[in-house]
Amino acid sequence: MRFNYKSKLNNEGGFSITILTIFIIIFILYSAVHEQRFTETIQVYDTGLQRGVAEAVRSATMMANEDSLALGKPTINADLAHETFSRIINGRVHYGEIEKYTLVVYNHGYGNEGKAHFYIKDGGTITEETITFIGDTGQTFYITTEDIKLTNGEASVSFEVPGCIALIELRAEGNSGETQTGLRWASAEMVISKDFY
Amino acid sequence: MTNVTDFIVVLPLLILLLFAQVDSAGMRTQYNQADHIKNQYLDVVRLKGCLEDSDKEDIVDKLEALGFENIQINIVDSRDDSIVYDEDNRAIRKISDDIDDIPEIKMTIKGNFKKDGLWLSRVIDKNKEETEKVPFALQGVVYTEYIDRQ
Repeated sequence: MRFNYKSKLNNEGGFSITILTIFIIIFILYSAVHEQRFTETIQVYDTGLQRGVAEAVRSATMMANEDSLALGKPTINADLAHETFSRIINGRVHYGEIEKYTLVVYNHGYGNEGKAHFYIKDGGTITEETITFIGDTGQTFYITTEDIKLTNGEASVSFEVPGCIALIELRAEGNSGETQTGLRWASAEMVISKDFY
Repeated sequence: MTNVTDFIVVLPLLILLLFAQVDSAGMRTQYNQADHIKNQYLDVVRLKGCLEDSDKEDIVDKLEALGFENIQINIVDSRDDSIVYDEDNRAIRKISDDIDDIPEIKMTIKGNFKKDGLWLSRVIDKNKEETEKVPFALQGVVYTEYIDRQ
Protein backbone atom coordinates (compact mmCIF):
# COMPACT_ATOMS: atom_id res chain seq x y z
CA MET A 1 0.00 0.00 0.00
CA ARG A 2 1.62 3.26 -1.10
CA PHE A 3 1.91 6.17 1.28
CA ASN A 4 -0.17 8.96 -0.25
CA TYR A 5 1.69 12.19 0.55
CA LYS A 6 -0.68 14.36 -1.46
CA SER A 7 -3.80 13.37 0.44
CA LYS A 8 -1.95 13.64 3.72
CA LEU A 9 -0.87 17.19 2.92
CA ASN A 10 -4.28 18.21 1.62
CA ASN A 11 -6.42 16.84 4.46
CA GLU A 12 -5.41 19.70 6.81
CA GLY A 13 -4.34 17.19 9.46
CA GLY A 14 -1.08 19.01 10.15
CA PHE A 15 1.20 16.60 8.25
CA SER A 16 2.98 19.60 6.74
CA ILE A 17 4.22 20.45 10.23
CA THR A 18 5.92 17.06 10.43
CA ILE A 19 7.59 17.60 7.06
CA LEU A 20 8.69 21.06 8.09
CA THR A 21 10.14 19.73 11.36
CA ILE A 22 12.16 17.11 9.52
CA PHE A 23 13.57 19.73 7.13
CA ILE A 24 14.44 22.04 10.02
CA ILE A 25 16.32 19.28 11.85
CA ILE A 26 18.25 18.37 8.69
CA PHE A 27 19.08 22.04 8.09
CA ILE A 28 20.30 22.55 11.66
CA LEU A 29 22.53 19.48 11.52
CA TYR A 30 23.93 20.53 8.12
CA SER A 31 24.67 24.08 9.28
CA ALA A 32 26.25 22.76 12.50
CA VAL A 33 28.69 20.62 10.53
CA HIS A 34 29.59 23.46 8.15
CA GLU A 35 29.95 26.03 10.89
CA GLN A 36 32.34 23.73 12.71
CA ARG A 37 34.36 23.27 9.53
CA PHE A 38 34.54 27.07 9.08
CA THR A 39 35.95 27.78 12.56
CA GLU A 40 38.28 24.78 12.29
CA THR A 41 39.65 26.13 9.00
CA ILE A 42 40.35 29.50 10.58
CA GLN A 43 42.10 27.89 13.52
CA VAL A 44 44.17 25.40 11.55
CA TYR A 45 45.16 27.50 8.54
CA ASP A 46 44.88 31.18 9.39
CA THR A 47 45.85 31.20 13.05
CA GLY A 48 48.01 28.10 13.03
CA LEU A 49 49.69 27.56 9.68
CA GLN A 50 50.00 31.19 8.50
CA ARG A 51 51.59 32.38 11.74
CA GLY A 52 53.68 29.23 11.86
CA VAL A 53 55.17 29.68 8.39
CA ALA A 54 55.79 33.40 9.04
CA GLU A 55 57.63 32.61 12.27
CA ALA A 56 59.57 29.74 10.68
CA VAL A 57 60.74 31.87 7.74
CA ARG A 58 61.73 34.69 10.03
CA SER A 59 63.71 32.36 12.29
CA ALA A 60 65.38 30.79 9.24
CA THR A 61 66.46 34.22 7.98
CA MET A 62 68.02 34.99 11.37
CA MET A 63 70.49 32.10 10.99
CA ALA A 64 73.45 34.19 9.80
CA ASN A 65 76.89 32.76 9.00
CA GLU A 66 79.37 33.83 11.69
CA ASP A 67 82.16 34.52 9.22
CA SER A 68 79.95 36.62 6.96
CA LEU A 69 78.92 38.79 9.90
CA ALA A 70 82.56 39.46 10.68
CA LEU A 71 83.11 40.50 7.04
CA GLY A 72 80.18 42.90 7.22
CA LYS A 73 78.23 41.11 4.49
CA PRO A 74 75.90 38.77 6.36
CA THR A 75 74.59 35.74 4.56
CA ILE A 76 72.29 32.96 5.73
CA ASN A 77 73.60 29.54 6.71
CA ALA A 78 71.29 27.61 4.37
CA ASP A 79 71.38 24.19 6.05
CA LEU A 80 70.91 25.73 9.49
CA ALA A 81 68.06 27.85 8.14
CA HIS A 82 66.34 24.76 6.79
CA GLU A 83 66.76 22.90 10.07
CA THR A 84 65.36 25.86 12.00
CA PHE A 85 62.46 26.16 9.58
CA SER A 86 61.59 22.47 10.00
CA ARG A 87 61.71 22.63 13.78
CA ILE A 88 59.57 25.73 14.05
CA ILE A 89 56.95 24.61 11.57
CA ASN A 90 56.65 21.15 13.14
CA GLY A 91 56.35 22.75 16.57
CA ARG A 92 53.71 25.26 15.48
CA VAL A 93 51.42 23.03 13.45
CA HIS A 94 49.41 20.87 15.84
CA TYR A 95 46.84 19.51 13.39
CA GLY A 96 47.30 17.42 10.30
CA GLU A 97 50.30 16.48 8.20
CA ILE A 98 52.61 18.82 6.29
CA GLU A 99 52.45 17.17 2.90
CA LYS A 100 54.68 19.50 0.95
CA TYR A 101 56.80 22.56 1.45
CA THR A 102 59.34 24.59 -0.49
CA LEU A 103 61.89 26.75 1.30
CA VAL A 104 64.11 29.10 -0.68
CA VAL A 105 67.19 30.53 1.03
CA TYR A 106 68.47 33.45 -1.05
CA ASN A 107 72.06 34.52 -0.45
CA HIS A 108 72.88 37.30 -2.89
CA GLY A 109 73.00 40.95 -2.16
CA TYR A 110 76.52 42.25 -2.31
CA GLY A 111 77.33 41.96 -6.02
CA ASN A 112 79.58 39.23 -7.44
CA GLU A 113 78.26 35.70 -7.00
CA GLY A 114 75.36 34.48 -4.88
CA LYS A 115 73.18 31.40 -4.52
CA ALA A 116 69.59 30.39 -3.92
CA HIS A 117 69.05 27.06 -2.14
CA PHE A 118 65.73 25.34 -2.77
CA TYR A 119 64.68 22.79 -0.13
CA ILE A 120 61.69 20.83 -1.35
CA LYS A 121 59.74 18.34 0.71
CA ASP A 122 57.24 16.17 -1.13
CA GLY A 123 55.83 13.23 0.79
CA GLY A 124 58.64 11.84 2.94
CA THR A 125 61.64 12.98 0.89
CA ILE A 126 63.50 16.26 0.99
CA THR A 127 65.57 17.38 -1.99
CA GLU A 128 67.93 20.32 -2.31
CA GLU A 129 68.71 22.32 -5.43
CA THR A 130 71.08 25.24 -5.82
CA ILE A 131 70.98 28.04 -8.37
CA THR A 132 73.92 30.41 -8.78
CA PHE A 133 73.47 34.09 -9.59
CA ILE A 134 76.30 36.17 -10.97
CA GLY A 135 76.50 39.91 -11.27
CA ASP A 136 73.90 42.48 -10.24
CA THR A 137 71.90 41.85 -7.11
CA GLY A 138 68.15 41.68 -6.93
CA GLN A 139 65.96 38.70 -7.78
CA THR A 140 62.21 38.18 -7.96
CA PHE A 141 60.61 34.90 -6.91
CA TYR A 142 57.09 33.94 -7.93
CA ILE A 143 54.75 31.94 -5.72
CA THR A 144 52.20 29.64 -7.36
CA THR A 145 49.81 27.07 -5.90
CA GLU A 146 52.38 24.39 -6.73
CA ASP A 147 55.83 25.85 -6.17
CA ILE A 148 58.18 28.81 -5.94
CA LYS A 149 59.61 29.74 -9.32
CA LEU A 150 61.84 32.26 -11.04
CA THR A 151 59.48 32.82 -13.97
CA ASN A 152 55.86 33.75 -13.25
CA GLY A 153 53.14 33.14 -10.70
CA GLU A 154 50.21 34.54 -8.78
CA ALA A 155 52.30 36.42 -6.22
CA SER A 156 55.88 37.67 -6.23
CA VAL A 157 58.58 38.73 -3.78
CA SER A 158 61.71 40.70 -4.74
CA PHE A 159 64.95 40.49 -2.78
CA GLU A 160 67.82 42.97 -2.74
CA VAL A 161 69.46 41.37 0.33
CA PRO A 162 69.58 37.79 1.67
CA GLY A 163 66.25 36.36 2.72
CA CYS A 164 63.92 33.35 2.70
CA ILE A 165 60.57 32.40 1.20
CA ALA A 166 58.49 29.35 2.08
CA LEU A 167 55.33 27.78 0.70
CA ILE A 168 53.62 25.07 2.76
CA GLU A 169 50.74 22.70 2.05
CA LEU A 170 48.92 21.25 5.05
CA ARG A 171 46.42 18.44 4.98
CA ALA A 172 44.18 18.32 8.04
CA GLU A 173 41.22 16.15 8.94
CA GLY A 174 38.44 18.00 10.69
CA ASN A 175 36.06 16.70 13.33
CA SER A 176 33.51 16.02 10.63
CA GLY A 177 35.94 13.54 9.06
CA GLU A 178 36.46 15.48 5.86
CA THR A 179 40.07 16.16 4.85
CA GLN A 180 40.99 19.70 3.91
CA THR A 181 44.13 20.90 2.17
CA GLY A 182 45.40 24.47 2.42
CA LEU A 183 48.41 26.46 1.24
CA ARG A 184 50.12 29.37 2.99
CA TRP A 185 53.34 31.26 2.21
CA ALA A 186 55.57 33.88 3.84
CA SER A 187 58.86 35.64 3.23
CA ALA A 188 61.48 37.46 5.29
CA GLU A 189 64.72 39.24 4.53
CA MET A 190 67.64 40.60 6.49
CA VAL A 191 67.43 44.24 7.42
CA ILE A 192 70.85 45.76 6.89
CA SER A 193 71.67 49.41 7.44
CA LYS A 194 72.94 51.21 4.36
CA ASP A 195 76.30 51.98 5.89
CA PHE A 196 76.83 48.44 7.22
CA TYR A 197 79.13 47.46 4.43
CA MET B 1 -3.77 18.09 15.80
CA THR B 2 -1.58 15.03 16.33
CA ASN B 3 1.12 16.48 14.11
CA VAL B 4 1.13 19.80 15.94
CA THR B 5 1.52 17.85 19.19
CA ASP B 6 4.42 15.97 17.61
CA PHE B 7 6.03 19.28 16.72
CA ILE B 8 5.66 20.61 20.24
CA VAL B 9 7.27 17.44 21.58
CA VAL B 10 10.16 17.73 19.11
CA LEU B 11 10.60 21.46 19.74
CA PRO B 12 12.86 21.02 22.81
CA LEU B 13 15.16 18.83 20.70
CA LEU B 14 15.33 21.53 18.03
CA ILE B 15 16.10 24.19 20.60
CA LEU B 16 18.77 21.97 22.16
CA LEU B 17 20.44 21.39 18.79
CA LEU B 18 20.41 25.09 18.00
CA PHE B 19 21.73 26.06 21.41
CA ALA B 20 24.45 23.42 21.34
CA GLN B 21 25.65 24.64 17.94
CA VAL B 22 25.73 28.29 19.01
CA ASP B 23 27.40 27.43 22.32
CA SER B 24 30.05 25.32 20.61
CA ALA B 25 30.72 27.99 17.95
CA GLY B 26 31.08 30.65 20.62
CA MET B 27 33.64 28.64 22.57
CA ARG B 28 35.64 27.83 19.43
CA THR B 29 35.70 31.51 18.47
CA GLN B 30 36.93 32.41 21.96
CA TYR B 31 39.69 29.83 21.58
CA ASN B 32 40.72 31.24 18.18
CA GLN B 33 40.99 34.72 19.67
CA ALA B 34 43.08 33.37 22.55
CA ASP B 35 45.36 31.72 19.98
CA HIS B 36 45.86 35.12 18.31
CA ILE B 37 46.85 36.63 21.66
CA LYS B 38 49.29 33.78 22.24
CA ASN B 39 50.91 34.45 18.85
CA GLN B 40 51.20 38.18 19.61
CA TYR B 41 52.99 37.51 22.89
CA LEU B 42 55.23 34.90 21.31
CA ASP B 43 56.60 37.82 19.28
CA VAL B 44 57.17 39.68 22.55
CA VAL B 45 58.95 36.63 24.03
CA ARG B 46 61.14 36.39 20.96
CA LEU B 47 62.28 40.01 21.24
CA LYS B 48 62.63 40.24 25.02
CA GLY B 49 63.90 36.72 25.75
CA CYS B 50 61.16 36.26 28.37
CA LEU B 51 57.81 37.71 29.43
CA GLU B 52 57.99 40.58 31.92
CA ASP B 53 55.45 40.78 34.75
CA SER B 54 53.63 43.58 32.97
CA ASP B 55 53.30 41.42 29.84
CA LYS B 56 51.91 38.52 31.87
CA GLU B 57 49.38 40.83 33.47
CA ASP B 58 48.36 42.06 30.02
CA ILE B 59 47.80 38.50 28.83
CA VAL B 60 45.71 37.65 31.88
CA ASP B 61 43.62 40.83 31.47
CA LYS B 62 43.00 40.16 27.79
CA LEU B 63 42.09 36.51 28.31
CA GLU B 64 39.78 37.33 31.22
CA ALA B 65 38.02 39.90 29.05
CA LEU B 66 37.57 37.15 26.44
CA GLY B 67 35.91 34.81 28.95
CA PHE B 68 38.71 32.73 30.48
CA GLU B 69 39.90 32.39 34.07
CA ASN B 70 42.56 30.72 36.28
CA ILE B 71 45.22 31.56 33.72
CA GLN B 72 48.75 30.19 34.19
CA ILE B 73 51.65 31.17 31.97
CA ASN B 74 54.89 29.20 31.70
CA ILE B 75 58.04 30.30 29.87
CA VAL B 76 60.70 27.57 29.80
CA ASP B 77 63.42 26.22 27.56
CA SER B 78 61.80 23.74 25.19
CA ARG B 79 64.79 21.37 25.47
CA ASP B 80 64.93 21.50 29.28
CA ASP B 81 61.78 22.36 31.24
CA SER B 82 63.80 23.11 34.37
CA ILE B 83 65.23 26.28 32.77
CA VAL B 84 62.72 29.06 33.38
CA TYR B 85 63.07 32.36 31.51
CA ASP B 86 62.08 35.54 33.33
CA GLU B 87 63.31 39.11 33.80
CA ASP B 88 66.31 37.89 35.79
CA ASN B 89 67.16 35.10 33.36
CA ARG B 90 66.47 36.09 29.76
CA ALA B 91 67.17 33.81 26.83
CA ILE B 92 70.09 35.42 25.01
CA ARG B 93 70.70 35.04 21.30
CA LYS B 94 73.98 33.46 20.28
CA ILE B 95 75.59 33.37 16.84
CA SER B 96 76.45 29.78 16.09
CA ASP B 97 76.46 27.21 13.31
CA ASP B 98 74.79 24.73 15.66
CA ILE B 99 71.10 25.21 16.26
CA ASP B 100 71.31 23.63 19.72
CA ASP B 101 73.36 26.62 20.89
CA ILE B 102 70.44 28.97 20.32
CA PRO B 103 67.87 29.06 23.15
CA GLU B 104 64.46 27.78 22.09
CA ILE B 105 61.67 29.20 24.25
CA LYS B 106 58.41 27.37 24.88
CA MET B 107 55.45 29.40 26.11
CA THR B 108 52.43 27.58 27.57
CA ILE B 109 49.17 29.23 28.59
CA LYS B 110 46.60 27.18 30.51
CA GLY B 111 43.29 27.95 32.12
CA ASN B 112 39.59 27.31 31.72
CA PHE B 113 36.50 28.89 30.26
CA LYS B 114 34.47 31.00 32.70
CA LYS B 115 31.18 29.62 31.46
CA ASP B 116 30.25 25.99 32.01
CA GLY B 117 30.09 23.61 29.12
CA LEU B 118 26.72 22.50 27.86
CA TRP B 119 24.85 20.53 30.56
CA LEU B 120 24.33 17.71 28.07
CA SER B 121 28.05 16.89 28.10
CA ARG B 122 27.85 16.32 31.87
CA VAL B 123 24.81 14.10 31.40
CA ILE B 124 26.61 12.06 28.74
CA ASP B 125 29.93 11.89 30.59
CA LYS B 126 28.94 10.67 34.05
CA ASN B 127 32.57 10.66 35.22
CA LYS B 128 32.81 14.42 34.95
CA GLU B 129 32.19 16.37 38.14
CA GLU B 130 29.31 18.80 38.28
CA THR B 131 31.55 21.82 38.84
CA GLU B 132 34.40 20.93 36.44
CA LYS B 133 35.06 23.75 34.00
CA VAL B 134 36.08 23.33 30.38
CA PRO B 135 39.90 23.65 30.24
CA PHE B 136 42.03 25.14 27.46
CA ALA B 137 45.75 25.11 26.68
CA LEU B 138 47.90 26.99 24.18
CA GLN B 139 51.55 26.47 23.37
CA GLY B 140 54.14 27.98 21.03
CA VAL B 141 57.89 27.80 20.40
CA VAL B 142 60.26 30.57 19.25
CA TYR B 143 64.00 31.12 18.98
CA THR B 144 65.11 34.09 21.01
CA GLU B 145 66.34 37.28 19.31
CA TYR B 146 67.20 39.08 22.54
CA ILE B 147 70.69 40.52 22.69
CA ASP B 148 72.28 41.53 25.97
CA ARG B 149 73.60 45.02 25.28
CA GLN B 150 75.03 45.57 28.77
